[in-house]
Amino acid sequence: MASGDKHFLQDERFRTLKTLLLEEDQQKIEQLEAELERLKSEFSEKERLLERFDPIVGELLKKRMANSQQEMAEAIAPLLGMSIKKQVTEAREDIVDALYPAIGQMIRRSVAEYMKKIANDINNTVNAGFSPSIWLSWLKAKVFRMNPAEVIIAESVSADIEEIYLISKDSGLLIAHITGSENNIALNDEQIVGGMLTAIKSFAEDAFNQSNNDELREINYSDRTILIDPGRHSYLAAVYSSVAPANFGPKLQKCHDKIHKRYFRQLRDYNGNNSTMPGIETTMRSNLKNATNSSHE
Amino acid sequence: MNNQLLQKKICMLGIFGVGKTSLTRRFVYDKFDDTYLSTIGVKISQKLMPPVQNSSGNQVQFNFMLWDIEGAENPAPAIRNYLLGSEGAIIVSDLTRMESIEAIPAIINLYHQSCPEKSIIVAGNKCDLLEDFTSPANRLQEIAAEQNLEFYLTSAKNGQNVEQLFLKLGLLIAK
Repeated sequence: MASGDKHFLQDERFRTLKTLLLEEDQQKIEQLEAELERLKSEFSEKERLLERFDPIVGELLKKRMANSQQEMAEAIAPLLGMSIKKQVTEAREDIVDALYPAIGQMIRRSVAEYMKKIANDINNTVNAGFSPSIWLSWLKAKVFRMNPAEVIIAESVSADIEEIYLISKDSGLLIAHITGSENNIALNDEQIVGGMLTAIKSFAEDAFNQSNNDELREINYSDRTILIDPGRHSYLAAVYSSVAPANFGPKLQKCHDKIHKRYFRQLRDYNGNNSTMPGIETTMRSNLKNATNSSHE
Repeated sequence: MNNQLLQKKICMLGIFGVGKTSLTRRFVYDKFDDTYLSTIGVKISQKLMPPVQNSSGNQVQFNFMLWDIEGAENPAPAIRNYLLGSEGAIIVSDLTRMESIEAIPAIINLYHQSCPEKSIIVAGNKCDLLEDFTSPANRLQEIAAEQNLEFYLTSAKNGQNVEQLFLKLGLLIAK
């Protein structure tokens, strides 16, 4: 046999052997290549990828929410805030439409509750003392040239006088403090409140003062009011919620005048020693008793 | 015998960023935070001081109402009003900023216009930041001596001399 024929025969045999041994692996490789190509095309096409993931995302979220609600809430909260803000800016009308039924109901309920309370208070006032107190209110209204209905309503609605502070005018140091409510601020903070009130008063008077005699008389926040009665060496600040009792301003002023008359020297020479004015809190309490007797003293 | 309790308003003064709020915070709450938050207007805290003896030999106890007043180069009239009725002031400077030390005489002047003859004490703060603070400390000493005032080198960060500064002011007021 010629040498070329011999080589050809050997190659042929080698190929046959290779086919016999590796055919199965070769097929597997081809299948895997095809599968890889298919997956590649699925992942490179966004829409096909979404199609694949769509059914499991919902389930995944449900599972995650069931297992770790707190974590999910923390993760979603900032997004929710941003989304609401964006919606309010871009689609205010839609948001109003969506919330209107709920908010309207809430407001209606709140107003109804309040009106019910006023009606009860008026009924109680009328029933409890039909003649003397009502006639007194009418008389008071005539004397002070006020609307009688306003006087009766103001006397009927129970205001909560929460705190009354007597504060040294310049230093902002708290001279005396009485509370009319159980929900008064934490003990020892009254001094800081007194100081901050003075700082706010001082700032407002300085910033908006047109003449030298203008003084801050009232601060409102939410349903609370701080009514201020300024005096020569001190000022009296009353914190109340809801509507002030009738003539509360003049009563506060009268009380402050009495304090000034009785403790004038001590107030003028005040050096931070509150024991120089014994009985000052009793004076405040007794003078404002009528104004605060509807509160929970 | 009971101590007589007296409320005293104390003003923390100095140009911006010298550490008035940090010194107050270190003294009142024994805390320090090195993030800088500029004080707007005024911030009030209180601290009950240990009893001291007054000039009549009686024991008195001060409740310091600390008015930490915003630092400003040119104080607005509202700031002058914040000084009224105070019994003493701590004028704070920053040892790493010479201009805060040089501003002390003008601040003393401003304070004494509203509260003549009231006690003042000077603090050279942030002494922890300098390895060698001889030069600013010398200048602070000169200014304090010219004004006949006592001074302390303090650090709100590590608490150095903070307690002593306030206690000394209490003693000066009690005199």
